[in-house]
Amino acid sequence: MNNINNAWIEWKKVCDLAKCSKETKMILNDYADSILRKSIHKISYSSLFAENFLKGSAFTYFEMYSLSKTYSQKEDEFKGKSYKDGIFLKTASSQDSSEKIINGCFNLYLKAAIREMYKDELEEHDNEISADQPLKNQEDSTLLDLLPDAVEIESAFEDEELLYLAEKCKSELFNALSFQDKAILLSVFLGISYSTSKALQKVTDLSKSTLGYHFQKLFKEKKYAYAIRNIYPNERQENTEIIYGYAMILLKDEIFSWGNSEKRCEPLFIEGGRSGAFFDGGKKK
Amino acid sequence: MTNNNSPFRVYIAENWEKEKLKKWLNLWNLKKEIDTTFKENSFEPYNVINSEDSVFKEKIKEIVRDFDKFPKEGEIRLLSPEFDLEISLPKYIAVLRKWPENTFLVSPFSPISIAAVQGEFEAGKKHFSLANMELWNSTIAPLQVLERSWLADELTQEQTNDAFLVFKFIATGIDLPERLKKRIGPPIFAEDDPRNEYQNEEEIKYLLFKEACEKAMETESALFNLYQTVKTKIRIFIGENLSTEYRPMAAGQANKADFSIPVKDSDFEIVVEWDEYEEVTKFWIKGEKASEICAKNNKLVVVFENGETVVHKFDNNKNIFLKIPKKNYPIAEIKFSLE
Repeated sequence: MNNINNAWIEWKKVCDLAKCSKETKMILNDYADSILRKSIHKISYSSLFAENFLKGSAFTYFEMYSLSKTYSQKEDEFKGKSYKDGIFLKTASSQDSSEKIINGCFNLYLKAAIREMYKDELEEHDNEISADQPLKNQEDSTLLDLLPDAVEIESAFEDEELLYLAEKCKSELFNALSFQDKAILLSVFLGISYSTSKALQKVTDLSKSTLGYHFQKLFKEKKYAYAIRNIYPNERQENTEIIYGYAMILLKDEIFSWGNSEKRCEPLFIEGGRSGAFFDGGKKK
Repeated sequence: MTNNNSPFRVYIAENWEKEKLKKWLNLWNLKKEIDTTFKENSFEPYNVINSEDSVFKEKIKEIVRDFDKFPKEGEIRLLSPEFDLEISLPKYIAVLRKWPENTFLVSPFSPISIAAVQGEFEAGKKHFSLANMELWNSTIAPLQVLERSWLADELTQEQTNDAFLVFKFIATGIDLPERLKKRIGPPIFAEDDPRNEYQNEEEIKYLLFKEACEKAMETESALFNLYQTVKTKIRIFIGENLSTEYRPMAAGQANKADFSIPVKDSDFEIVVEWDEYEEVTKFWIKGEKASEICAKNNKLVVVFENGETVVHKFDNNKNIFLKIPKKNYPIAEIKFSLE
């Protein structure tokens, strides 16, 4: 067998490169350097940091995959090096040449290790990026577009008695709502997110951050709950909040007919008609 | 994020979520850049297996550790490369819970150490390849598939339980304890969010493993539910000595307890017959010497996989048949003791 094959076998048998013979150390470090040297300087994130990779010890980065747990028994230390078993079993059972498989694995492992090493440095550089700044590789979006404030309306009313009370007081709630809050409610019914909607900013004449403030007041802090309390002063706060929520939902028809009669709201209907906004709680699976 | 007393579910991104997403996006972009750079500079090695390479392959096969059997809750295991679609980073999975019928709830670890979505959890392991769990990518793995892995590390009891809570949070919508809320990722809203691409990539990586799990469980469920099953190899003992190792599948028989086993160096066969009306397995002796055998006080002992035994005495031709109601474990051994 040639020298590099012998070196791989020695490396597999002992714990890590530091414990290998001088010759094996040299062979495997040269091998790692030759792969790394071709690529690392082309990565744009940090030219200074890249130099650190080229000091004849590139194999160390590959060995970052050793799990550092302290095992109680000497022979158990090899469990932390299971990745070696994975690479060697794949190599032994592949129809491709050993060189192809080992190079493939080595490249992949090295890439992931480099990414992790850059991580801290990236964080230092990127602390000042604002939520409104376009994203790298995705210039149409900002961080806020990916995490817009959102509200999801439950379709079922669980408490029929409170629903009855909500039905009776919804007109008072409608009358209490300001123009901007009616427009925000309309945008919710249209499936539009305030933080991505240009139409809502135009209709309400509010900036994105002020809209966010209104949104929070309306849905989270239940700004108009006082209107419900005025009508049902003896209800517990918990019930008042549920009636508030029910009444908001029951206002859907009124809000739509109000919006249709308000010429200013037209951009919302246009945007809502083509909006793909949705809220699924982010639970893909 | 969920308002318990309201028919509204309001989501307003918190600062830590924005920070975490920013960090994740930085890592994702770096990953893309490194992938492209390495690809541009990669060279295709000479792909021929010559005799020297064959010798090398044989050598390394010998030094690969055997898989670790008997998986347990809390273990972190490295999956066998047979589940790789292509050359891959180590596929570590955590064993979260023992599930019924010899199956386990398992969850992969992400190659990116920051939680990307609500179904990911930074469980507290320091090593970057074990820092972030993909609970959304969990699956049920039967024992025989999960055993094709090496034990690599362990989660603490607390880490295992916390990960299971995050799994329940995404699977059933239960509230997450406050202390865990900042250790998951932010939700996804937009269809063009790069995390969708990431999740698709991760899902594909575990496709072969999940297919193997599903296939094994389909077989298992057929075995357990309809009739008495047998092991792939039934061992027949005459007295203390192993006489025959009968493989129903190899003999063209089904896994159902319904066949006749020729006993080596003897003049009789043991008939194992599934009676679907009575839902019992009948055992009886067939052959020229059957009557003679049953005329003595010979004993037949049936041993199931879980160690349970049923003993039958033939008692001078009075009890020719042994009938055993269906059991949930396969038949493993039949022992015959002759007087």
